Amino acid sequence: MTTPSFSDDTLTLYYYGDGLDADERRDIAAALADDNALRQRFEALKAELDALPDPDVTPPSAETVARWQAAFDDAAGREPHATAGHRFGPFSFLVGVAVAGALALGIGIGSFLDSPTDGTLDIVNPGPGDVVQPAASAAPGSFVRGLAVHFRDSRDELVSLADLPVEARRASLTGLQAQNRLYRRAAQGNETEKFARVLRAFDLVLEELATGELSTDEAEALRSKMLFELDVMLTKLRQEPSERQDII
Amino acid sequence: MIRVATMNIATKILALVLLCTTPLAGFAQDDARGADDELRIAALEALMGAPAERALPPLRRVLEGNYSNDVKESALFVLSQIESPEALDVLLDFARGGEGRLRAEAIQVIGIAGHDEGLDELKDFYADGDDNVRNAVLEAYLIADRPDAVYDLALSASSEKELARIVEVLGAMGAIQELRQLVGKVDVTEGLIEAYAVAGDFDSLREVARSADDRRSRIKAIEAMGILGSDQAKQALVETFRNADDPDIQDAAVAGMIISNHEDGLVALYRDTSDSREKRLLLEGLRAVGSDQLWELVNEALAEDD
Repeated sequence: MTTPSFSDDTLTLYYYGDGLDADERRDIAAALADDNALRQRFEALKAELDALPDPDVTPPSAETVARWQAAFDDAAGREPHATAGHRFGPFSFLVGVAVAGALALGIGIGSFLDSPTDGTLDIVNPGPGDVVQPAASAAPGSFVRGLAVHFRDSRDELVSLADLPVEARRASLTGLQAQNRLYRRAAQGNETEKFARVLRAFDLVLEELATGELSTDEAEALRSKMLFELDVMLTKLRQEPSERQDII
Repeated sequence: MIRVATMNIATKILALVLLCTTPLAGFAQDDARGADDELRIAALEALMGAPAERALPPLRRVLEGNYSNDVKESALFVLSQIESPEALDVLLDFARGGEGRLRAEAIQVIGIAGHDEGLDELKDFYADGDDNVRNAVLEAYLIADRPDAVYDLALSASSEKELARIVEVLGAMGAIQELRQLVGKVDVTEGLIEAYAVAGDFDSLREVARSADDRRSRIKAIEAMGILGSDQAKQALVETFRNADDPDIQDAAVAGMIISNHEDGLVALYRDTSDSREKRLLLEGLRAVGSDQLWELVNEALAEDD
């Protein structure tokens, strides 16, 4: 049986943990585990992507950011409201993916990204006069929805982890780590810092799982712990002021 | 209001579940998750939907009761997500009085909660704690993004091993400012150099490579530039090789170019030098990076001998 071929675009999405559903990611992970040539192509692609210089990101005007925010809110507003146990439909998933994709490409996210002089990337939120926020302590609605997608995707990946062969499991964890880092960077600062702390904690757990040095029982315990914590965070996100339904 | 009434009923049901399934005192709680633990953990997750004043009593009861470590860890995480001073009090009480794995978990969760008051108390835990507690405090500061607090711990480190662990955490946090502030206050160690590399601090690595008193540190800093992977670092490695008289410095520059996969730099240096020792060293570097250009250069070298 021949291994299906994957384009560089698909492999790039896989590397950034973006734009692919759980089944597609599993297929790619399994193919990487079995196909040496594909794995070598993937490693070469990763090296090229890692070598790309960070883009010079100039903060957009307040009007541009407001239009961007409105576009996301409008797109997300076409989906039914999320309720307990309701899974995000594909369109709201695309909203979250669009957020993650834009972050990955460093475009149109000038309000969340800045390039400080010390060479590290830092996250800044727009100033008080730039974008309308629903409440002083509320995270932006589009970010919350994107984060919920990330938590759900992470949950799906972790649930299927135990069934994967070793190489595919390692590839899956690498993808999870990359995606988690992406959201962690976006969350740093101000109203979303509370989520950044959780994402940093998840960084540590994923790193430990990825070492492959844990016993089966230790890895399973850590996986179960993170699944619980993801469920807690999904419940918490539904309570965010930007997501909360009116009390009847 | 229907939603509030529903929460009241749900909270009462959850409390009842926890009460009915409270493990009997005196029986040991092993760490393997049984069906009761799964139910308790599910109940704890559902507490996220309750107001803080209703969620705190069952959470406190779990931490004080004879429950398994898994259940208590789950309660700790839920507490970290309840944004109230009372929740922090429960966490701090548990961290002060706890021990072993659960105490370390409570400390880490204080980092997730992120309250300044809780984070300030962690330095006292660090001062009095064993290695596990100290590692938990460092992780808590990493999670809470408090490089200033980690920096303070570096200044009072009592051993090279402890300092190495602390600067490793600063490197992981990308805390370039704090790492730079350590220069002159602590010895330049391999750990500090690696932390500069992990944090992406080219300027500090270049400074150590140029002027560290200890030759071994200069060599290490040159190699560590390879970790940066930036064009600036790659160019610095090429220039270091060109300008060095010391073979060990050239070795370090080649090692850095191997780490950063700087094939083009190795090829350019190979073509520029006529020194056979240097050519051999650079060919080894090209072989290490799996360069396709290696064979062309080997053929050229063999053709010259014909």
